[in-house]
Amino acid sequence: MKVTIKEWNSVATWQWDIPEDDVCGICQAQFDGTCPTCKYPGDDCSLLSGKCGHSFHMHCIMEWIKQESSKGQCPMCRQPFEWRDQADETPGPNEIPVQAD
Amino acid sequence: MPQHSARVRTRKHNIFRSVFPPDSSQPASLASAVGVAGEPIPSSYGPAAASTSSSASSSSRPKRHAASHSSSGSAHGSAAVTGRRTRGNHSTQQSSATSAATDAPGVSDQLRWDHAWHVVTSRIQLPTSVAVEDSFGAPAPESQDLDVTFYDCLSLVLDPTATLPQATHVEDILSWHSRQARQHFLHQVLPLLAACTSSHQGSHSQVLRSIIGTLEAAHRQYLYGLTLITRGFRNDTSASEAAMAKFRRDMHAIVGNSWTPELITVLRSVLHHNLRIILGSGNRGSGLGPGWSRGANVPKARGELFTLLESLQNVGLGGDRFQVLFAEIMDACMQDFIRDSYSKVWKVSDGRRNARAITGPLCLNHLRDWVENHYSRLAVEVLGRLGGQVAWNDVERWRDVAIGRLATLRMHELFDIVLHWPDSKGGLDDLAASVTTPQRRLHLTDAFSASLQARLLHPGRSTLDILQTYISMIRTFHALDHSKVLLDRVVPALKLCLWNRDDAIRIVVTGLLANPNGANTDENKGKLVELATILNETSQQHQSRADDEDLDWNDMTWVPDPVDAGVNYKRPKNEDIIGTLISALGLQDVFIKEFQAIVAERLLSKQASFQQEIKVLGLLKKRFGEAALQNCDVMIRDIVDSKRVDTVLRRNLKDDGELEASSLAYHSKILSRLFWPSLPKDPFTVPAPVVEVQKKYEKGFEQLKSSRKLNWLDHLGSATVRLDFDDRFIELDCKTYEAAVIYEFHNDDENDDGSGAAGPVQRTFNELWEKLMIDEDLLESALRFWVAQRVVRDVGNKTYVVLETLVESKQGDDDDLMEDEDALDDGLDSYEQPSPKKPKGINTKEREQRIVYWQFIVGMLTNSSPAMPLGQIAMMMKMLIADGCPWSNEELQEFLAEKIAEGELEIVGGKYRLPKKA
Repeated sequence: MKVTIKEWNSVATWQWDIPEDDVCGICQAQFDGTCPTCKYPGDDCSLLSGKCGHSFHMHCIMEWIKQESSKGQCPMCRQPFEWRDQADETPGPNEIPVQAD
Repeated sequence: MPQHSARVRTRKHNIFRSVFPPDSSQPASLASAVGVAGEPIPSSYGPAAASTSSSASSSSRPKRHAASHSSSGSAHGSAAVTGRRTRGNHSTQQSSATSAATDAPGVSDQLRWDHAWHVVTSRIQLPTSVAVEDSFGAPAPESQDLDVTFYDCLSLVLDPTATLPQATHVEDILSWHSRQARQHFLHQVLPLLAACTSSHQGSHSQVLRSIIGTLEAAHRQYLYGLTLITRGFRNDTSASEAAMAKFRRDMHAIVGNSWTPELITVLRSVLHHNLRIILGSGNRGSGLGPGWSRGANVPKARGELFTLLESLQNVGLGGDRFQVLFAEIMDACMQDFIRDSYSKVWKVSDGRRNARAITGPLCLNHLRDWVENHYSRLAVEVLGRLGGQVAWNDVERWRDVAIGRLATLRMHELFDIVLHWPDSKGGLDDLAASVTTPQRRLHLTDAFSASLQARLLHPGRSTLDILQTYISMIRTFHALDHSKVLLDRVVPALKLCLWNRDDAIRIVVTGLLANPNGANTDENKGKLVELATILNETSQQHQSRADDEDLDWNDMTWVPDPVDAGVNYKRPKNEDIIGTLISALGLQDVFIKEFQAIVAERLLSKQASFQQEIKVLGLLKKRFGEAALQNCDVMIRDIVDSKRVDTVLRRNLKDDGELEASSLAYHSKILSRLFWPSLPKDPFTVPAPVVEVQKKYEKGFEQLKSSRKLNWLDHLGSATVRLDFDDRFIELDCKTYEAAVIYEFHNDDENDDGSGAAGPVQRTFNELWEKLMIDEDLLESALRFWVAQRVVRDVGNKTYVVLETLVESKQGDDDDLMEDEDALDDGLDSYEQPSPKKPKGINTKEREQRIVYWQFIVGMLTNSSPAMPLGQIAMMMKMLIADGCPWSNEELQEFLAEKIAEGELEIVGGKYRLPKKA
């Protein structure tokens, strides 16, 4: 008997490819979920990883940085927060390449 | 029949005999009386009496007279009767004996009076016996030629003080007559009546007629004597009328007290029959009460009834006793009428539908009309004839009673009304209009709860039935009572029952998701399509949120809360079937969870469009709010996004030319894991060609969506495979794991030319299991599937062989074939239901949960207290576990018992503790 697979409909889940703990240090929600203000995870509520190695929901950390008292520091380690500017990573808010047809 | 009547006659004869024992002094009297049918006695044996000497009797007469005086007070003894009778005889004899000597002057007043008394009494003497019950003899044939003697005597007797002042022993002739009449009635008529009622020949009405005939004849007889006496009053009409009335009253008192149970029975049956016919006439042409005296002759019955009434009134049976009896029968008639006319009559023929629209509840109005125009009219007529009065208040009371009875009838039918809704609307209108007091409301809910318990809430009823009935109940009760108070009172038992049905929520959700347009198609069989229809109705969609307002001042239809409403009562705005139904199923969360699970299942299926789901989701959002259904939103968006990503990735891959090589069409659905109901991971070795594409796909995704990676859920999803056999090929859809399993039987002919003789591929269960590293349950179900599809064959010993040619299998054992077919059925059954997925999902989730709970318990027993009773553990878990502990105490106990069995826990003195490590 010869078996030919003509079609394969698979199911997968996605998750953020980050090394550490899976909870956002600010909102305590899982990275794969959304920050408190968002409805849809993923593209609409992306992550931001700092050079210090801490990641947050983008909306959460932006809100934090905006505050006077934060002094631009990472809420986890109190180092000045600078986000990694990797080639394949989101450079800033709202610039996530959305592949639309 | 003749024999029978002969027997009756002998019986009556015997009764006479016992009343009047044959007397030696008048041996012929009985026989002659029987022979001439009650001729007045004096004429029949006057001559014989004349021959006897009168002196002895005349001398003894005053003494006897005195004796009769003294005994008149207690004149019921038979001795007194005999005495009286003999006196009568003697006086008769004397009258004829003395007739020659009347003209002799110088007779004393006393003697004259005695003589006059004899003349008069002998004339009005009642017959001593009767022959036939309906003729006591014609009243005195010689009444026409009443002799002057009689009148003279009468005037003497009537007014002795004026005419015979010297007579010392005088007596009132009127009281004498009524006394003799009373005696006669007691001793002759009553036995006759008893004989009439005890003879069961003929119908009741015949018996009654004969009774009345008897009484009438007796009356005639008594009145004849009376009229003779009253003639003596000559011109004094007022005196004669007074005497007449007094006598009549006396007689009625006697007759009125002579009711026997038999008479009552007979009268009851006759009355009942006639009343039914008369009252039933109100039903004609109304389309109600089929068979209630239809076609009976109403005028005839009416005539009969009134004749009967008249004669009863005449003979003195129309007194209170009769009125009570009449009232009882009327009451029974009303009951019967309501039951027979309205029971299960809810719908009216189309011709009258318009009429109802104008006048309101049909049966109720019909009943009201009936009470006022038939029932009361009859009662007024009857009581009018009996000299009674009917006040308007009475009519109103009857009407209320009738309405109350209709209400009771409807209450007991309410369950059927619910089942037949909306055809039974007429019945409900009656109920709504008649249930007005809290007592009736209470009675209604009690009656309904009882029938609900007996007819619906038992294990024999499917959950679907119960839910359907519940929907009808919500509708019916809403129509009955907008306040929902009644419904709330009957519903707890139903809720309890639904909570015990695991499939209740699932049925509701699938009902909601059903296609409302194909209400009668097979696809929707066994689903609550009503729900989908309701959900799509516009009236349900705009749910006014003004509920929070205390009062809507512009609401012109406002009514106060019902008196029996509870403390926390809140007025519902509309029918809200879905809301009520969902709240009956327990918490909203539970419902939403189930809804998610079902939607997830549907989204992962191969279904192309999810319009219905999106629509239902939108409608549910209006009900539960956005936040509660956020997850479902994300799920749907995942699927939509996946489609887009899929097209992009495929285009990219194609552009790269990498996908051209394989003919495999690869699609994927990428989910946001936190928003889906538990997605278990059951990995297995995916077929090599698929792995290749899958890797490329993954890489493409990671490029497209930066810093994200994919986790494959291999066992979800579907595949299409083409199987080429020696003699045929199959192309079919299957699950991914099924495809993976069959791929293991793959045998590429081109590579395998020479050794083709090896025959069909053969694999054992264990081989497959090791190679694929697949879950055993999945493997088993996959193999069953392929066996059912006649692709492989179980050759025993957990070994499976490919069926290269179908002919071969047909040549095989018939038993084998049969088995295959059985397996085919089984396989198809299990294939149709997504069974391997769902329970597994629960299991994995539960397993995880159990591990967490176990760790929690161990921690508690180690750190907090070394030994704890069950209740305390349960309480701690409920308090301290973040999501709450869904287990009941029993479930927890079961779980702990498992752990004890595994030796990880022990129970000492009702407290659980960890075993001490040696």
